[in-house]
Amino acid sequence: MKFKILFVVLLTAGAVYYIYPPKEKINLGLDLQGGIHMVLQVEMKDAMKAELDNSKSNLERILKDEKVDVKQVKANPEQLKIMVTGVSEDKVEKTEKIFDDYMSRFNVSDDGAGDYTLSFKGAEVKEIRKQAMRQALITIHNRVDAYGVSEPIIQRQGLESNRIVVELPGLDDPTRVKKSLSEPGWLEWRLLAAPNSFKSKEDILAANNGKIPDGTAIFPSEPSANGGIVWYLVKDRVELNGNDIKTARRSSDQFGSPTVAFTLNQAGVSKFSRVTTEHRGERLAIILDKKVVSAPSINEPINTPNAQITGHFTIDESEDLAIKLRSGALPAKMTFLEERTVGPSLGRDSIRKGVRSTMMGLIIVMGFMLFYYKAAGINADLALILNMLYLLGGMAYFHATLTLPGIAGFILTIGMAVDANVLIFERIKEELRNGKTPKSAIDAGFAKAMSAVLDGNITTLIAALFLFQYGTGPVKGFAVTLSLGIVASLFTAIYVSRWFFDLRLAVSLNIKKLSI
Amino acid sequence: MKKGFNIFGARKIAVTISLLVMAASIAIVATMGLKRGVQFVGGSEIQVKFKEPVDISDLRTAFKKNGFAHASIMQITGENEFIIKLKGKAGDETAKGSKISQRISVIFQEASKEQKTSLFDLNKTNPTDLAYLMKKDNPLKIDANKMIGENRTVYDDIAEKIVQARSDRGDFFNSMDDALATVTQPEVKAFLTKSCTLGNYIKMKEDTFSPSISSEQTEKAILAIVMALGAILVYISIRFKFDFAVGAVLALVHDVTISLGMFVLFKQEFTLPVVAAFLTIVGYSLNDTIVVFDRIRENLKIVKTVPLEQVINSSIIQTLSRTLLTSLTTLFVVVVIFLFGGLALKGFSFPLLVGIIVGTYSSIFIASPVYYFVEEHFYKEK
Repeated sequence: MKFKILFVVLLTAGAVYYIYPPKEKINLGLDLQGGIHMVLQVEMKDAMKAELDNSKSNLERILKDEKVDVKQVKANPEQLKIMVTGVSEDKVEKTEKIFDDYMSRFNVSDDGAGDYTLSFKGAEVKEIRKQAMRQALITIHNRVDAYGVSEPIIQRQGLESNRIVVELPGLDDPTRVKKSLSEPGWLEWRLLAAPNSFKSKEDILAANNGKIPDGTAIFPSEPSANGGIVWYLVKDRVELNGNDIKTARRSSDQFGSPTVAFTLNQAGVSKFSRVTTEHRGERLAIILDKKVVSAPSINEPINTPNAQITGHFTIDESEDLAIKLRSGALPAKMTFLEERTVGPSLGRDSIRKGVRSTMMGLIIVMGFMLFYYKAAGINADLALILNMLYLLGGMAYFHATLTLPGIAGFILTIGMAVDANVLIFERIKEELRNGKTPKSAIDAGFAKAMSAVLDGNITTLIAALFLFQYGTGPVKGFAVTLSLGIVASLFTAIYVSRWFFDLRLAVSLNIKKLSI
Repeated sequence: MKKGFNIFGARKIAVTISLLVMAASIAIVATMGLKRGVQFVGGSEIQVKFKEPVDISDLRTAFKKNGFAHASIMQITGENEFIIKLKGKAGDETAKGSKISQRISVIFQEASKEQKTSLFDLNKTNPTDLAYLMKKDNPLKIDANKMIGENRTVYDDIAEKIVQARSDRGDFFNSMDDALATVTQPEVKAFLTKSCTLGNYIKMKEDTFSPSISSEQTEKAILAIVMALGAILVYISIRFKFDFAVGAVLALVHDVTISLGMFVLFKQEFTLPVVAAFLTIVGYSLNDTIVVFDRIRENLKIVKTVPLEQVINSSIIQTLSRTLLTSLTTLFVVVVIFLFGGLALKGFSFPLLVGIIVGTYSSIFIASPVYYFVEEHFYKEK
């Protein structure tokens, strides 16, 4: 008995300790505190293509270095294959050795007549996916951090999916964040193949006899202030990319226009120095996400790590670009599957209504129990209050999040929690009618009602479990409060309420009549 | 064993009525169709609040004029608040970019006669963005190193106070003096007065779902409900006997079907929280059935000579008070949520309301007859 009292007192004290002060201890979901919830999908096809292109360029370089002439090395991004055609007979052995040594990530199939098809090994596909997800998570983390959002949640949705859940409490304008998270931030420096820009793609083709010269590609510019776009013919070779940048920040040029200042790392400095020395007088295009930001002329060799990018930036744009450069590139394009925004006032309103409904529910149910069960109703009511305390304490302890449906679950618990008490009390009443003494009626009531109480609650718990498994965000919050509420109510009804009865019996041992 | 009313004797009438109501429910769902929310069909849902009253027909005209003829617009009773839904294909477009969102903002701007300006809107802002605005300009000249990362600054406190004051005034400030009443630093006050404005509308909520995720949601919802039913069938089979489990699960199917029928009949919208409500019905409406079954199980151990029919009837009568009482207490709180929980919880509590009432009925009139039928036809000879 003493041990029991101590246990309940300790548990209650623990619950209060975890809840107090509630404003800090109870996590509010985005639907209650306001914020942005997004589900993004990493377009794995993009990531695979990028890897494939990379491997293809590598292979081409190695074949050239080893002086193996082939007719063509072609990437098929749809089937994720690299085709090598026209290997001359005397180079077959050498080529196959190169495949063995350098292309171990691929399965090589000999199509005969010096043709080969290389496709990613199954394990590699998995590895690329894994790496892409990892990189996406890190990059998104870095970008979100830069906006000064406190306590963002960025996590993979499930263990195997390509989806990332991003929750940003406190924000309510998704436009800018969305832009920042959807653009990969691929930065490249490439030399222009034709010194001037063109008005249209067709002009470029016209200037080159109707076909794009080998080793070059056409890129559009970022739209200028009035929305106009020009086109550039750019060399395929990437001189530097985002990986060569150590850090970047928003800055401005001598005229006060926004720019992005960056610092190169060791490797970046030597690459930059080489290209600016060898290609003096040419123009070096700065390409962000396949759009030319600017294409300054190389006036002199640059050997310092510090430089800046100028363009038609607004202050916010230059800030965003700096963030992208600092955070690294995303492995692929992101698609937005879901986007929920709750403004700050709606959440406050929901909380107000939730608290009011909880109070009303409590008063009605507690009043009813008192009215119907008289003194025993006090047992049930005390047990109910403890139940609420334990439920909140459990939520605080497990760092569970309270959502709007969660509040509904909370109120629902009030009504359900007394069910166990009702079952037990009705059974005690029945035993009393059968002529048992209060003490043995209480014993029998608790013992016999137990199986129904357990079975009933466990089935509800099973349903709640499936709900937890199924639900996202808010609905999960409901499943959590409902489950915790059920567990707490089992404990209070079976254990605490029993203890109150024992207490009353202990006060007057020869109780003749039980008020129930 | 005491004799009382012959509730069980009324089972044929009860089962007939239930079958009719279930058939009607299925017919209702089949003909009227489930009205699915944006989560399940893709699209956008926006809740907007205006400072001054706006006429709903004006808003409808404005949406039509701007190429959103398919928008469904509803006013929240007694408020200057509206809910706008763009479903299906419109949602497809919406998912592609935030341009639609911006076009809609322009409609709201015109409807509320808000001035076009690039100033920062104190009526629309949240504390984070407002604090960010001040940190960028830094009118108090705080050491920049102290503003890095999650360090709380005086700007965060100022922003928090302003937004709290706005909430206390019913979500809108009337004048700049009013808005900045809580700001004590003259530098900050000057900066905010210069760079801020007060808008006439706020977006309370904006949800966008791409259709690709939506169809998946529907499948997952159905799967969750079916799997929960299956798991419960297994649990009851283990704890009781298979014939009890058949009774319990058919009673559940009965409850879910009729709740769904009523749900569709009253033109409620099927949303994610509604799935939660239906799963709760699955879990909860069983409680009463279990109480009755538990008593049948107990009575069968005590009396072996009485016919099963009679055992079932007295078990139902013995447990009648607790069946009704437990449902009643839960019904109390569901009614409270329905009436006072706000718009978002109304859709959630409606199926619960129906489900609890139907569940109580089925635990008395449906579950036991099914159990009796299975027992008599499949187990009797053994």
